[in-house]
This record gives sequence, structure tokens and C-alpha cells, in this order.
Amino acid sequence: MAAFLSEFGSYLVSNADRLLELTVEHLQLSLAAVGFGLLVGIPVGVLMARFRRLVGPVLWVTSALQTVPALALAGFLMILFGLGRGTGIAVLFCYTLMPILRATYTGITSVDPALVEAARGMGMTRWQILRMVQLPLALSVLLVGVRVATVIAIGTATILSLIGAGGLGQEIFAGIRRVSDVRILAGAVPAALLAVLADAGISWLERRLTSPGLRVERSAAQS
Amino acid sequence: MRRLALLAAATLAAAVALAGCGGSSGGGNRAIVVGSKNFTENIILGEMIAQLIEAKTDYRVERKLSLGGTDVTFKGLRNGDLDVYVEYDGTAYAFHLGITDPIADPAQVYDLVNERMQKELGMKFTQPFGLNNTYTLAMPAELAQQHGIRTYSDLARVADQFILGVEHEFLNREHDGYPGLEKAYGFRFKQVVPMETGLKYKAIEQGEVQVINAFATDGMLKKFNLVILEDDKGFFPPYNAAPLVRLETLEQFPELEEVLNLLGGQISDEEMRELNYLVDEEGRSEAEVAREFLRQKGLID
Repeated sequence: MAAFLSEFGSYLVSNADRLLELTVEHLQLSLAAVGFGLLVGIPVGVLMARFRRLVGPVLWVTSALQTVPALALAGFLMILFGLGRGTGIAVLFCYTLMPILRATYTGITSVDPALVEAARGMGMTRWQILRMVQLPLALSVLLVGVRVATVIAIGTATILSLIGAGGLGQEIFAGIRRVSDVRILAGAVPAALLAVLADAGISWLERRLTSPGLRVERSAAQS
Repeated sequence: MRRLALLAAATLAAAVALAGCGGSSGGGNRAIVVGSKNFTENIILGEMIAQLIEAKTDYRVERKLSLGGTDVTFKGLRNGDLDVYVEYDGTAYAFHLGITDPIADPAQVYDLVNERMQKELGMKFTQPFGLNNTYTLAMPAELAQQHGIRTYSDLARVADQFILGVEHEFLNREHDGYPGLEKAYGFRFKQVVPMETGLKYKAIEQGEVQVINAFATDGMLKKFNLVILEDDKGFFPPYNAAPLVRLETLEQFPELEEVLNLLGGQISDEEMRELNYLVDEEGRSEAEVAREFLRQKGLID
């Protein structure tokens, strides 16, 4: 075990540059996917809350998408986006949609109807209600969805090195190929760290972005 | 609302910023994109092609090595995402062209395949390297001796005692993969377990499986003390390795074909096994091993 750890350590040190580059690629792939996921997921989630008829079909489609294996999805999407990063981001985007949509929808619909009613009574327009009441109150639920989406993206990104998207999967697959546990771990450990850090980072953001007053009010309302 | 917009913007901005330092290659004249499948030999050969083009011409080369299996590289070549990668004529025969006729003369597979690939798919093989990386079955030397197994037919008699580990691709290749093999020899394994290529060796080392499919030039056979069984009914076609390149690319880069042909007949089975061994067992990089070999052959300085 000690021998393994020292071998692992020295491998990390002598390959630090390359591993760092792969980590950056990995993060970039995942973040781009989550970014596009937010751009599409939030508006669609809002529409779902507004037009309830959409809820069934949209969730059905995105859930179905979620169950397609990453490589199968990649094999299909590479016809559109080519071999490389584009396809990688497109695949991960598909996986971020469901958690973001669902969280946006749940967040908005779980806002106390009395508050929306009050806002309407004050003469707010629908857009103002969305902007000033519903979305701020939905934020903490929404961020839970973003957290899930980010962790899924980081985890799934490893397999996309197989279609040339780069990232830490490259190291993991090189390790599997050579039956080298050191190299498998050299790819897997940074990937796991990325996921944990992203999770912690977003939960920090969650606390920062939800104003203290709201948090108290929400937890009081829930209890 | 502002915060939400900010969040989405920040995420994308971060991705873009990271992309900036990732150093994306764009602009300038078009590069020749060299691909490879995701096993050691194919990566080494991909590296050789890339390095040779860089050394002999002014063309720019982009590497997309270690992609998924044959399906990904072949689709990539058809779509024009790749310009060239190393393929095996037997694979083209059975998989890309889907020819089911038994092979009358193994020596003619290359010519036959090459003619049809050019006509039907807009791609061609340049001169073969000389190595034949055929599919085969392998098992621990000790176990084979114990049961007196030397050929596939020997194995078929006692197959119900063993678990076979195969890679997904082998299981899914109708004509030259497990489905055909099973019919030809009447194999009845206790279980057939599909897995990732590299994991087969781990599985056989730990005794999870007793027989695996392997490549004849695989460096791992030596490392794990496995023997190759004899294909006594001649089921598998030959798999001569050669660069597979788009005809369109050859027109755009007129010097390319000549450069690729420099590798014709230069690599024997034995040499390839040694190169694979250097990477798999001694942990050298594919690029380094490729460069050394090209130097040794006097193809680059």
C-alpha cells in the first residue's frame, strides 16, 4: 500500500502539467454543458410552470434522454457536431436538462400561492411577479438542480474522451488499457475532486445568493 | 432574476475563459486530422503516421487519438471529421463492407476490399504495414496445458467449464466476431461477459474469466502469460493493418499518399508486439515509442 501510494505520488508529480491540462479540459466541458443547460432549462422550466400542459411531455422527453447511455448519444450526436468537444458538450447538455428543468419547475410551483396573490393584488405584472417574487424564492431549489446537473456532467464527461472530447477520461482509459491502477486513479481522483468541489462551490453560492431574510422565511414556512 | 442571469453568464464565461487557456486550434490552413481507435497498437500506428507527415511535409497535423471503437473512427472518417486512421483489411471486409462469403484466398482480401472501399465509400487503404493483427482467443498457459487445449476445436469440447471475457465490439461484430465464431465452432461457454478492452486482462488475472478474445500482436499476452489458441478452421480473416484515408484528402494533400506508403511493409508482427509491449508493460508513451521506431527505420532524423 505504501509502495503504491509513493508510486502514485511520483506519477502525479512527474505528470502534473498534463494532468492539470486534462482537468481544465474536463471542467470546461462540464461547465459549458451546464451553462447551456441553464440557458435552455430555466426558460423552459418557467414556461412549464406557466403552461401546465407542457409538464408531462417535456419531463417525459428529458427523462427519456437521461436514460440513453452516453456513448450511444455521442454516436448519434457526432453526426451533427463532429468528433470532439462539440459533441461532448452536446451530450452533457442533454444530461443537465432534466435536473435543471425539474428544479426550476418545482421551485416556482412551490412558491406560496398567497405571495403570488399578494403580488398580483399590488398590481404587479406577470413578468414582475416572475422576476421579483417567484424566481428569487425558487432560487435555492433551482440551485439544487444545478448542483445535481453539474455533478452529473463532471461524472459523465470522463466517458466522452472516447469521442475525442478530451478530459480526464483520457487518463482513465489509458490506465484501463495498460492495466495500470496508478493511471486510472490519476484520472479518477481529480475527477472526483472536481465533482466534490463543484458541489461545495454551488452550495456556497446557494447560501450567498439567497438573502438571509428569505432563508428564515422559507424554513419557517416549510416547518 | 439578475442573479440567475448572472449565474448562467458566469458559468458560460468560466467555460469560455477555460477554453481560452485550453489553446483551441483554429484558423490557418486546414490540418490533416489523424485518428486512432482506443487500443495501444492503433494509437502507436496513428502516432507514426502523424509524425511522419510532420517530418516529411509542411502539412499541419491534428491528432484525435484514442477515440472509441471502430464504430467511432469509421463514422468520423465517413463524416470527414477524420482524414486518416489505421484500419485492418479484415475489419473492412466483414464490418464496413459486411461481406459474409468465406474468404477463399486470404492474400486477396486486401485488394478486394480496397477496390470496393474506393468505389462505395470514397476511401482507400494505402500500402499495408506488414503486420497481421488478427483476432484470436487466449487463455492462461497453465490452464490450457491442464486441459490439453491447443486449438479452438479443443476449447469447444470443454468450453462449458469456462467463462469467456470479450470486448463489446467483438460481441457485436456479426460476421467476424463472437456470433459467427460461436456458430463455426459450436462454442457453449458457461457464460460470455462483455467488458472494456483493458479490463479483460485484469479479469483473467483475477480468475473472473478463463478465456478472452485478444489481438495477436497484443503486448499484454506476454505480461499475463497467456497462450494464443489456433484457429484450426480458419474462421478469422487476415487483419493487415494499413492507413485508411479519404480519397478527398488525398486530392487535397497531394504528397500524402507517398508519405503514407513509406510505412509499407516496414512493421512485422514481432516488431509490433515489441512496440506494444514497450507501451503496455514498460509504461512508455505511444509518441515516444513511435518516434524511436521511425528513427530506427531511418524514416525520420
